[in-house]
Amino acid sequence: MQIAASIFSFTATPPPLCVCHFPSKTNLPNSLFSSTPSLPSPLLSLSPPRKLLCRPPSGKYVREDYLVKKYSAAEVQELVKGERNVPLIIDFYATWCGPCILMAQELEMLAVEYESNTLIVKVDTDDEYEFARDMQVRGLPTLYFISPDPSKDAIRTEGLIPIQMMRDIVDNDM
Amino acid sequence: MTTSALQASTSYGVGFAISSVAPPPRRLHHRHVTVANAEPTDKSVEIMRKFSEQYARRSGTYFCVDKGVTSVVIKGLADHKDALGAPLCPCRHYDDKAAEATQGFWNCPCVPMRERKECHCMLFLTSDNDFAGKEQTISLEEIKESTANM
Repeated sequence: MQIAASIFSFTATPPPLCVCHFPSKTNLPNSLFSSTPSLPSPLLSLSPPRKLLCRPPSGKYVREDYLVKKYSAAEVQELVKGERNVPLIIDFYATWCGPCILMAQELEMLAVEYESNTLIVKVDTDDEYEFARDMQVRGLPTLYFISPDPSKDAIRTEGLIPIQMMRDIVDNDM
Repeated sequence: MTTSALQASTSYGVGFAISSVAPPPRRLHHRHVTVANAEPTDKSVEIMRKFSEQYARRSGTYFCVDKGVTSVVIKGLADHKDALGAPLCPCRHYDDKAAEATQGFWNCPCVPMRERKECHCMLFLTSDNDFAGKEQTISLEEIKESTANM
């Protein structure tokens, strides 16, 4: 309904057809981390827009898609070159890397916590082979923390790191 | 959470600059770039599943509390086995996957695992690791369920 769209200020465009949409549910037990509604799929952000049968629940923290978006090498380079006033976090991952899944969950949580105070993106190293090689990515996951201040060095971590360490880097070193 | 219990977290500053000069023209020699296939074959998954169980028993290590991680890594090994003939570690980026597969350092079980029981994929975890569960078995159903929406 068009009226419902304006009341809830739903950001998605009103769907033309009525097809039911079920958000993908996680199959991983969330014993280690607090609630994250869905298993981040590295392929999800490239899927075509989905048609909706019923309007999904809306709210500040109910999302149709992941906060951390997959970027291509060209897009990331544009981001780095361009004007920014927030730290940029780049997550290099691979489809079948187990710790990368846990890292992606942590980054989604971080994205919710920091909202527009950081920009978090992910890069599939199998898709962007040359870019990963140029950035000297070896172990996965690898995170690059890039400050908005161009005089500061970037910080790079390899392997799964606790979310508190990420918070510390963003708060103290950026 | 102590960092020693978690896999490698080396943090160092690097000078970072994206060059604004156009990249040098690519040489025309053919480089075989292997990318992950959509889905490994069931046969390879079964082989790697059996290998993982057997190696965990043999090395006295355990699977992750979160079996989803174990499932994803087993599928990654199966995928590389299909593509390259050898189960190359799925949690690394390589300049040349085929060459690495022949060389063998990162073929599962990789040298760091064999020498120091260090598995950064979190497939084989020593009992003192925060993420280690108590199991050394995983069924094909568990693997399929955990990775169903990938």
